[in-house]
Amino acid sequence: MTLTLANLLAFSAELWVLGAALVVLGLALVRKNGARLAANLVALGGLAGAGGTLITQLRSSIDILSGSYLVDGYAIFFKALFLGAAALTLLISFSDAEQLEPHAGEFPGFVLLATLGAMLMASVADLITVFVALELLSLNLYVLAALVKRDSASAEAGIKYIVLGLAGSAVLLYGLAILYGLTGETALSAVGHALATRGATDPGLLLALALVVGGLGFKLGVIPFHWWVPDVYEGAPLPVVAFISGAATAAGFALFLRVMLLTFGSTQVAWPALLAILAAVTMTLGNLAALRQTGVKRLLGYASIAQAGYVLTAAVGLQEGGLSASLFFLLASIFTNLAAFAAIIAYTRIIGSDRINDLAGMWRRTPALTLVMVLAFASLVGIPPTVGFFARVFVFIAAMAGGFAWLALVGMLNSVLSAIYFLRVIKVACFDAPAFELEAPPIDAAMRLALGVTAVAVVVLGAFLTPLLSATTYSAGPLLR
Amino acid sequence: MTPPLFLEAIPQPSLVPSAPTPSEPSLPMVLLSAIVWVPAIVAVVLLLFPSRTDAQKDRIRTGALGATATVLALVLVLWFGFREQFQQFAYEEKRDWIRGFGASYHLGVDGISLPFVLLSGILFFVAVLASWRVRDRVKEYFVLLLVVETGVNGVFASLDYLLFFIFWEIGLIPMFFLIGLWGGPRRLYAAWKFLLFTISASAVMLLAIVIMYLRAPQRTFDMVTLHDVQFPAAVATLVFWLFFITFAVWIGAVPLHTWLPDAHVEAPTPVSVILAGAVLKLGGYGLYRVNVGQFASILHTVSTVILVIALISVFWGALAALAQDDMKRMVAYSSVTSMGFVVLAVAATAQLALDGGLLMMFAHGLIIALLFLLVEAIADRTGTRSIRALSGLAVRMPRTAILFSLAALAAFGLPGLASFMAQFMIFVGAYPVHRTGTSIAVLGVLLLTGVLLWTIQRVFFGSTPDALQRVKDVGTVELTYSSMLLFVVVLLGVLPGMLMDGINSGVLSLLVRGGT
Repeated sequence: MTLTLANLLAFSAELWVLGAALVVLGLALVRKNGARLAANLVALGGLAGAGGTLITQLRSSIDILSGSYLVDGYAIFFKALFLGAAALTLLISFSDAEQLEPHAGEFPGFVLLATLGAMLMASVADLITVFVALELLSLNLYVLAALVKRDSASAEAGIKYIVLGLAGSAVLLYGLAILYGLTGETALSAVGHALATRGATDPGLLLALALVVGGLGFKLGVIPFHWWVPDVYEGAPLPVVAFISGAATAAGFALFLRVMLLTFGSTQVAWPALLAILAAVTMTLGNLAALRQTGVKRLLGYASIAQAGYVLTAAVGLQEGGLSASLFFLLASIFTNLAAFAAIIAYTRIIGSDRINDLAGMWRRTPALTLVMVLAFASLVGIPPTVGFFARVFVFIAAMAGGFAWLALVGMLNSVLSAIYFLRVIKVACFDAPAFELEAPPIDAAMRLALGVTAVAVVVLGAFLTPLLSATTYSAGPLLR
Repeated sequence: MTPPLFLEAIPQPSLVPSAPTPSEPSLPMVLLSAIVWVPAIVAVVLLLFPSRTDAQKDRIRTGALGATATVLALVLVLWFGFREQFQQFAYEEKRDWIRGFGASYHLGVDGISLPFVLLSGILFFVAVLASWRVRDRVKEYFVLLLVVETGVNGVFASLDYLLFFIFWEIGLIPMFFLIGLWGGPRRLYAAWKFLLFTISASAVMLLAIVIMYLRAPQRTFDMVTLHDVQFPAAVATLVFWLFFITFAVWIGAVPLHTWLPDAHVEAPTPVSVILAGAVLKLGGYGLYRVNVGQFASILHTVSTVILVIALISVFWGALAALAQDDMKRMVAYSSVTSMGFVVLAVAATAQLALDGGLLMMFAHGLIIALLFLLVEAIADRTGTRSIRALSGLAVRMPRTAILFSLAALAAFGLPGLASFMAQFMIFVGAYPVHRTGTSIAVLGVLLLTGVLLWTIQRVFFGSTPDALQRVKDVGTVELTYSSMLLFVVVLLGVLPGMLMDGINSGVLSLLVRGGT
């Protein structure tokens, strides 16, 4: 196997991101006023270039390095999502320079490298590249989470994240090793073929399934592997959390769904039932925990755990449009989460607190910001006409079509639960009298752009469901063949 | 038995569907969309205006009044242009929405939904007038109220289950805030209770819709298409009950009614008007459109169960009303009784009874609105809603006394008023189907009559205590909208045909389509 030009071309989107990342990290050494702006512009330019390259690959299906790296509709769908999420993250973080010092210059570089990891995760199809891609994303996230070292909460979040994340990686690695041991293959589809002959109660197969689901479950924040989520959400810099909740989780699912389908998809093992149980537990416990939170960040952390449960819910009905529903849900949640975080970040910058009770008076001070937050929360609950509602309907339909009606019912009841705690926050933010007087400073242009884009997406995507659904159906195609 | 003479005046549309006229250029095709969306659009525009000074607040109020007045005008145009239809919908609009998923933007009205749209148009206009004195967070209040109107009108106009559900949900959260923020002393408790009941009901309804969607031969949410689908008996029974539970929560059928008195009492009065007059009717409309319209065969097999629920609601509501000291709570419980009669009509699934049930909901919407508004007027003047604390008000508040008495007479069905016609039709129609049940239900009317007359006697007659010697009567604005509501009630009592022609054809289509 040689490295040919065709091989490199398949990587062209990733190369844009990598190149931009290297330039940005170089620029971080320059301690001048304009350097940070330049670094961010370079980063955005790199993302745009990668996006342009994706358009040229749109209808292609490239398979390089002996099938260990695929550029198919599925990968391109996710890569486009990651690029968008990364760009929005940069916009959101732009005026956090002071908070991120002395590493504000490196921040866009690490975001780009994490994005690169996420993009690889969408494409990998081999036991070894799976692990490499996952670690590239994870390591950069560890760095980002602990970026503000003088803040003890950030440092603590970073430590927790890295320790638990490494434990997850180790578990996953055991699972991948067992898969290799069982089959002698490293390509996911070859592993799947070799496993197809094994019985439903084959102990080796079951152990591998448990370890792979457990290891990836750490990354996805699925209960019972979720311990790091609330602490990281609370302690890490908020733009990083926004990136984790949107892009990194979606990347985890991109990898998870491909691995599950290609390796376990054709086996006799009742993996949909396993996912269904995980989904039900994750949704319910995540929402119950969120009910008791007093801080918005932790609340969003538990809410995002519950959201992971919804994606799993869709995944159990894979053959019945479930994969397409998962993709749509991830698309919706990226925009929704970024909208929610953008609003929360902009407001906590003003008041310097994330306690729910301190949100009182938000509507009087910053009505536009409050409106974005309300829309995002409505979408997180699944209240029409926001995009989150449609995402949930598709998920429920997929689960029921897949024969998991009880799971759809659990999902619906969970929407009720989530309505309770989100409405509580909305009520405080919109209607309670503020405890102290404060003149709200204007919001910077980059943040306003991010707020506008995400809020419009949350409302308007529901009106363009026909093209969006055909996009997710097309993207789900390569995995279902 | 033959229907009495005056009912024969109602034209019976022929059972043969008239050939659909090739083009109906006279019907403007965005009329329904306008009725649905104008309030929401105005709400978004109002959001952009400040509301700090009194002049700015007045501008917000005027904007909201303008929106509801426009909708009322459009609804009247809709009503005048409506011709009785058989098995088809007027003002139909159908646009692509989610192709390949089977959801479309499909609106239309028939004889079933027309009275509801009319009712909602009237009540929201009155509610905005009655909200003039809201001083706190004026902009937010009217914006939320207008969003509720879009939701309510949308439910009545939708012919696509997904769209139906979306509109259903749109009204729910604003309603929660309207109760929870502008309500009475126990408003938070009432608002959360309202939300828990209704949002759980919505989850149940979504489940029913998804089951239906997955079990239909083609993937579609279209109501008209799905109404022709014959589901296996087990599926149909399940979906029937899921829908019934949802709608029973909304109309406050016992035992799912406990949110209703709390929400109605704690909500600010204009919101109580909307809640009892329009939002409650969503459940009634759903029973007709879905349970009768699509699952009439199931309805026949479980008719007795529904009848029992109806009877319990009738008596529970009336007896609970009897025990109340708070006038607003008394009125709220009386509405459980009235809705019980509607459930009785559904249990009978007979043409005449169903006609009566629809007329009942229309009349009840107006009457209950009037009663709530008058109770508020009394509470505003005297500072109390306690029946025991009030006495001899007729001396100081003669207009209120007359209006309240007329409304109460209408509520228990004095001949000549709309609700009398309605009750009469329900009982005559239901009697052949459920002889014993109907006979018992008639006693409920007596009980309700007793409750209301006793209340009038205690509140308006007797000696006027010193504390009440200085109260003032209702003002011109209140008199205007109260008279307007009363006028419609009397008009329909005298000329029921104005509404009944449409209702009749709608119910007939429903029954024919449901395979009865």
